[in-house]
Amino acid sequence: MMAVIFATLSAALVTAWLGRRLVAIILIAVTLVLSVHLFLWEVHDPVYGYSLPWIQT
Amino acid sequence: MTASEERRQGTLRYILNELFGVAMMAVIAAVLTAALYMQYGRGEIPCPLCLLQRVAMLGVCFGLMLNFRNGFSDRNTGYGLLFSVFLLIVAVRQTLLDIYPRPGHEYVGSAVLGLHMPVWSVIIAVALITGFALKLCIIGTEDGARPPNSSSLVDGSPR
Repeated sequence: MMAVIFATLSAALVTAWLGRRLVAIILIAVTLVLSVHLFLWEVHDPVYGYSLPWIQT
Repeated sequence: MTASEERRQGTLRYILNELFGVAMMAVIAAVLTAALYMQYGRGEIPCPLCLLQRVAMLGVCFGLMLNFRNGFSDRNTGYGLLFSVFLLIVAVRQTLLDIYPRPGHEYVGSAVLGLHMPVWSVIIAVALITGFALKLCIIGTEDGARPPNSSSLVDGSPR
């Protein structure tokens, strides 16, 4: 997943530099959606969900 | 405002925008270079959240690059702001993950000037958001959307 994110990000930067604005914006939007998805997947715990039990009093 | 004053103000705004973009890109390049030095020079392997923070910083660069490539627009600044907010969210979450040592989180990397990487990331994200806000306040344009009935405006401002 991380490789896909970096690939779409690189493609967005290259297409932006080549002047293909619409394609670049679509690619950066895909990058952001994939990044948010991976972030939520990384921080989710099957037991605690998104909570942080080690800092709860 | 006369035509020559408008032209002078436009030139000044263009130069300030260029300087802002170059300065922000230089800062991000320095941060990413430092991160790569820590990874390859000091053997600090990045975690997935660290990599997502790099993605967010490069996303900020995307907005800045569009400004250089296609001319300055608030929309491009919006792309940069969007990724700055994403950087802040990921960095704060990682700081909270590493805030208390526990099994699996005993070592959270070496400190730079007394602060660990996720905390630096929070500071960088806040600095980026502040930078964008100052840019919009100081060198932003007045070309915003106007209501359809512009006769209700006096000198471009609502009565």
